[in-house]
Amino acid sequence: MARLPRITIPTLAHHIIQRGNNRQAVFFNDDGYRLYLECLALSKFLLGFLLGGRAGALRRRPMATHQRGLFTSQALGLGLLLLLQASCDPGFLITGQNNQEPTWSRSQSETAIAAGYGPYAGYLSVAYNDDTGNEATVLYPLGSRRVLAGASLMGWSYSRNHGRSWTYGGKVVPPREFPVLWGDPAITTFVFDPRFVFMSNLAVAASKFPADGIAGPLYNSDGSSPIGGACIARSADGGVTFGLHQCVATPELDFYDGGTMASSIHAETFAAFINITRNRIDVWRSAGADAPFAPLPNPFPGRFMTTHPRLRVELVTGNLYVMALDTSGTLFINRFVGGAWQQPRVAGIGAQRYPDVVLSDRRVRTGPQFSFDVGAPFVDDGRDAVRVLYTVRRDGRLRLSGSMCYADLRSDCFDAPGWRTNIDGDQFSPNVRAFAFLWVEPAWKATFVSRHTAPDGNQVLVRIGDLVAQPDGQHGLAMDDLLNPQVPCPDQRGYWGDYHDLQFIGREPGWSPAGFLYTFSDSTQGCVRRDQFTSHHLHVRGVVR
Amino acid sequence: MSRRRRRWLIALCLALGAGAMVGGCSAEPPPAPRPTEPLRLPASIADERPVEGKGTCAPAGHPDSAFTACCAGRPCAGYCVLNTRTQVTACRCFDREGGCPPGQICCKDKGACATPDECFQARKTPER
Repeated sequence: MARLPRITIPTLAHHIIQRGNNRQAVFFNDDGYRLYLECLALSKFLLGFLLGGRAGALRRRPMATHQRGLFTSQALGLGLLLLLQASCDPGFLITGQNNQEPTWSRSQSETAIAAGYGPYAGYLSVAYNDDTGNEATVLYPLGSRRVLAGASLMGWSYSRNHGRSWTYGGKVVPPREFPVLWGDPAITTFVFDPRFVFMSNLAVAASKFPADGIAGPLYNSDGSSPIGGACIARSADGGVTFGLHQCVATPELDFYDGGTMASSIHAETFAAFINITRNRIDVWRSAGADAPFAPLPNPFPGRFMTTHPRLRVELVTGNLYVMALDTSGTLFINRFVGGAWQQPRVAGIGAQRYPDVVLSDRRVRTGPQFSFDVGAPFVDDGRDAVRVLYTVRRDGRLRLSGSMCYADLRSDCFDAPGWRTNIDGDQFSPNVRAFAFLWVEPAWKATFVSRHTAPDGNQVLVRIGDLVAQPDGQHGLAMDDLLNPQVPCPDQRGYWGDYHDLQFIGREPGWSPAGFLYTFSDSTQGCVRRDQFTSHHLHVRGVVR
Repeated sequence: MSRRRRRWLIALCLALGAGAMVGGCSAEPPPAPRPTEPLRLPASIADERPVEGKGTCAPAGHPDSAFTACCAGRPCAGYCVLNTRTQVTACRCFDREGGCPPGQICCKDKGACATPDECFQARKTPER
């Protein structure tokens, strides 16, 4: 229907009504309604307007299949357009940019990204294991290491311009009850209000901490670990400063490992860890920016879980998803909705845990070998709302397999053979992120580490691309090289691909055409060897695609 | 945005997308299979559930690094699994039925049987 141009007055509120012709219903099912809300949220994100009123008054009508197809084609076209513009640029250093920076002389590794949307698009915070400033608390006498009270690896950097420049934020000081803040960083923000950023690291409990510090690795000769929980820090200024918010632990101070965090647009924040002592995933929830974290029930009762978990939150509904691997090599997923966990579902079979990747003269250790996200489905029946990539062993090599699941997890997930990798060498350490672009449905991005350029050599590289799916169920991977090949550090304790993160960061005209940030531990500048246990990449690097 | 301009933009995107499909930098051509049936666990996995052990016969080992249990009255270097079809409880360490042999522990970090020293060396996380 033809319309005259509407009058738009900057800063003045506009009253907008969207309804069906003759007051007919607009949506008839949840998928269509959810899609509408996502488009609305994305428009708000891209244009930065404030939204009042209520969307719930809308009535529902299913979206015609041809419209969905059009969205799909647009998303595919745009995704491939972005691939066309891409090249293997080296990215930029987030830490250790020059010898004037405090991070220059120490190491940073393991990364996690939080990104703001809407009026705060371009606000980024990156957490990492930061050895900066630990000269008095992490000592390296010859052939050993001693960790003293006050040591902290909980460091971060922030950017206000989509990653074009980065500022070192500093370190969180450990509290008395947890005198050491150690690794496995996680970070999250309320995407439409990223003033509030939460960050977590593992923490050593005071009651498990030897008076003269910890010599060597962070566990004891009897197999126990001094790590007894995790500490969560909070920023109320968009990641410029952080203060300790709360430490989370069981009454028995069980050994926590592998932090992951996620937030909803409704200001809920979740943090999860594997409780290694009790073989379960412990999930914690905070109901608001100032609310304390409280434990949720066990998402995988009756299973022994063995890997770091991963959390994702569905953007509009705020429903929480958690995934982890059990003792049988089965990848399970569950959803927290209406205050309770659903029935866990199978998301992958025969998944690898933490495989060592054998290069020509060195081994690379790896982290959790699965990733997933929840976003808009493209397949007509919605079975691809959750998309999963995980590492398996196939033909004597590490390869990726894929699966897809309904958003409501009404069944176990579906095998997605089109998302398997079948190129030379090993492929491992996948990342999956859903994202959105203009008025189209959100599309899907994935990365993984590959050895296809030198299947038996020492080089690894990262590939990036699209997890493509069509309304009729056809699906495939369209991948391209993101980083030039590089050689991991020559030490069995060094690792590559663990805690690499991938986040949609919006776009900044004239600089970043696509708006995905990938962060990783950089080994192009050499390696640090401080003792037999610690040898890892020097600094954190990012690349935008 | 006018309808005409939007149509033009969509056509441009599709055309560029198609161009990228042909001329992209070493992109893998996306195959096009369809999703199959829901994933089905092998019977050997589907029938088994880990269960807590009973009794005090579990071998030494710290739960921060090793599975130990007392299964069906026997020490188990691993964990107990109940076969829900046969209702038999047995010892298992990941893919090894019966648990680990003497001198080895069921190493959580390695995901397999290992000597205590191997388990120590295998430890991957947390960052050290």
